[in-house]
Amino acid sequence: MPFDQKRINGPESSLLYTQFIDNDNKFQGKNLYSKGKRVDGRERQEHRKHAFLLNTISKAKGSCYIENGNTKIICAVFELREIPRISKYSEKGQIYCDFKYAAFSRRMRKSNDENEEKLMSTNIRTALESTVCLHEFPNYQIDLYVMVLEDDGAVLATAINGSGLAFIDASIQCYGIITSTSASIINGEIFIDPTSEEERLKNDTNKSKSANLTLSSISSMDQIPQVFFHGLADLSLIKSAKEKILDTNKTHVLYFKKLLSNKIANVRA
Amino acid sequence: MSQEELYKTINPVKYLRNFVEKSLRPDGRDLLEFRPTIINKDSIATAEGSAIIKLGTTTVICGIKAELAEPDSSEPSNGFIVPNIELTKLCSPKYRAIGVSLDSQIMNQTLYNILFNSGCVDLTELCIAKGKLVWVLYCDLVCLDDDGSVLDVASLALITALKSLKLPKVNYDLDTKVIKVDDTIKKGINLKALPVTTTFITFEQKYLLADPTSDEESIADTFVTIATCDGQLSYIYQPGGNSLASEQFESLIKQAGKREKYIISLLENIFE
Repeated sequence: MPFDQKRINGPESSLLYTQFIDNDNKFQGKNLYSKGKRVDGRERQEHRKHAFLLNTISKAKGSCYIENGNTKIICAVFELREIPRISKYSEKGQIYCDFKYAAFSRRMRKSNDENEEKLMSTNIRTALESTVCLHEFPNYQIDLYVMVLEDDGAVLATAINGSGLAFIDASIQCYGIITSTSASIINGEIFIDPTSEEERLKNDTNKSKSANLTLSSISSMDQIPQVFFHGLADLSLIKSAKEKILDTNKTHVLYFKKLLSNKIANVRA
Repeated sequence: MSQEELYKTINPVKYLRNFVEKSLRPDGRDLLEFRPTIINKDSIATAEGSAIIKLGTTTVICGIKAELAEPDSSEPSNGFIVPNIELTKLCSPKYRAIGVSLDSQIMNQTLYNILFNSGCVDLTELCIAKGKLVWVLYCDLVCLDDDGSVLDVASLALITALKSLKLPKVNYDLDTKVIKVDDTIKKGINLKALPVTTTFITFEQKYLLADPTSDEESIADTFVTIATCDGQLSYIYQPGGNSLASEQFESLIKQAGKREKYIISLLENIFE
């Protein structure tokens, strides 16, 4: 652990105890799809149960706490402020996204994983830039803060879902509701909404890492605003994964609409 | 904006004074009444110990990750506990967006002092093999919503997470230097004391308010944080401001003692 003067420091270096555990209990890829079900009892196409809570942070303009299985993410949107440090007037508004993993959220504790966090921030930002009506607030910037409290797979998809809802909770005009789902392609099979253990698996045949595809769609339009893919997979598999994800996204829009209409009903009452 | 909110924005001091003169607070509490406390343990599966505490709307989550390390040569049978709180723009617009803010640093050190002043954890419990292998507990706290009294909530989150901690059994062979971890047997650590902090503010030099919200904190004369442990005084933090009369101070300590009893009874209910 590099010495950080601004925090309380522990010892110089520490080891993960999980590497010393006997292999008997370790998750083996062979059990991935045995007896017709995945390790946690789901079908291949089945999405985990999710829960949402709007307006969780009292100090934020809009916020959303989202749970997708065990993945827990909180998103907060704050008031508009002028875009700092620019010289020209900007006709469109901007979104500033700050994505952070909490130090205890993953298997390995890393208090600063800036590169990956920046990559996720950019992905979330580009996904939301397509839904938010940026022309409504020229020269202004909206701040979006996303924090992952527990990572059990499909983080990017869950974060995009939560951020979209947080924007709507903040009463910021959007073109539509953005929904996102993640899929893993392992050993030629497609698994929707992988857990973190499934995401980490390698293909049996060529020991390459399994592929992971995250795709978002906007409810009102027939367009895909964001795709994030990494890994090695056949083009035909990617195509069918894309179709499955788009179907899943469509079903989620109904849930989100119900959630939002409940919120408005409560406000009116 | 409603009339009330407008009045509150224009003259917050007068707004609060109108309530306090009638021995009430804007949210309907008595002057020395606390907001409802919600304690939730074992919330995060990836952490070895975790807790989420809510005091009204102020929310802090604590997650403890345990790792193995060599102990300090000057203290060969002591483990490490490293608390760290993150106060970012996520919880309130008043914090800096990037980097470690001054408030985080102050709170970090205060938490550290409260934890070790009270003798809460005996670091020798974290020792696996003297001079060779000890546990390091990285206690990371994240404030999710700052509506006043963050220190109270943070210290309670830390204590609850430590109490809910489950460490696997580790065998260290002194001859072969091989480490073996058995994930199936999990044991917690023994907490010798449970320090509970209470925050008060003074308003217009005569009124004492317990558990301030962030609006009340911003117009307070001074705020005092008192940590008690088993009815004994463990830590007092008053960063300047107006002075307190000694009777006021004594009544604060009594209130803090009462609050501690309540919190301890809550914790006992949860950890039955």
